[in-house]
Amino acid sequence: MLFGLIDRTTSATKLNAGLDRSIERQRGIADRVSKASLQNSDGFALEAKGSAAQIEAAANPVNVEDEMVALADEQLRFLATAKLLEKTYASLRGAIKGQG
Amino acid sequence: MPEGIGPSRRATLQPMQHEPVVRPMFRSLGIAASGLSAQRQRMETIAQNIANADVTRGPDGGPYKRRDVVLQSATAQNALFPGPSPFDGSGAGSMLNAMEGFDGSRGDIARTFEVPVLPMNGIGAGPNGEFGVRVAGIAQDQGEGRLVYEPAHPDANASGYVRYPDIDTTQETVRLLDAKRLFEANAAVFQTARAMLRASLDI
Repeated sequence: MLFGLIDRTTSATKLNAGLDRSIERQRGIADRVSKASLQNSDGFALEAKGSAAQIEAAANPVNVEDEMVALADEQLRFLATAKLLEKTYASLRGAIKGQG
Repeated sequence: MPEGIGPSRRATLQPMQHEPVVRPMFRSLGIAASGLSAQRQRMETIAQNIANADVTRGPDGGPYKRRDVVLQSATAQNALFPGPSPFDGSGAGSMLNAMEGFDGSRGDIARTFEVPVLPMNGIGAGPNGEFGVRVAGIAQDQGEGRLVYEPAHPDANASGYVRYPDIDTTQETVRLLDAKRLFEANAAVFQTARAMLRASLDI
């Protein structure tokens, strides 16, 4: 059995971990975007009511624009990592088959 | 007949017993879907308010009462997800948990809003307890409504005043825009998650 073949010869494990991290971050973005209106029931364009402390407490911490930027960034990272992993496996497959 | 093709064979896409119902990669889709569902319900309630802005005869005889969707962070017990567990007999199969319902706007059919709920018992929970959002209920305006002097109106009181719903269509429209934009944001998250899943299939 070729134990450790992939780990020793390629960076597939690290790339896999990178994909997992990417998914975790993407899940966090999805969670924050889904909760974007939790404290924003008055709508984004309406004047805030109450005292300054109340307004600050009620302020929605989610910035949807920032989350969208982070999402696009995360998607690119994920696609790049997936492509690298695909190439890694392809080269490993080629090495096993003896292709040049 | 090879083993595993008989009628008792478990369908391929069903989760294995004792395994998370929701695979970690698909949780993003579920979270985005919860946001989509919440914003859709917001839009429906706003549409209901706008449609009933001038209704002086509600179900209780008084003016229509403005409604507002109350959202809350979902937890492991009430997270929204579209599919029930085929193995969990502890209520997960009955995923529809009726919440406070309300009648449709003067329609013939009384309609109940339902929130799909899948008790997940901590299964597949993200590291930060990410379960998306859910509709906790629909609140109703407790105000009596505004009085408008219209002596010729059939619902006018002895002094000639008619009580109208306390609905500002401008505010409702702004809320509608807010819900629309957030719906689009959640849809973008969903599409991105789908694209990432598709890319992972090419590895």
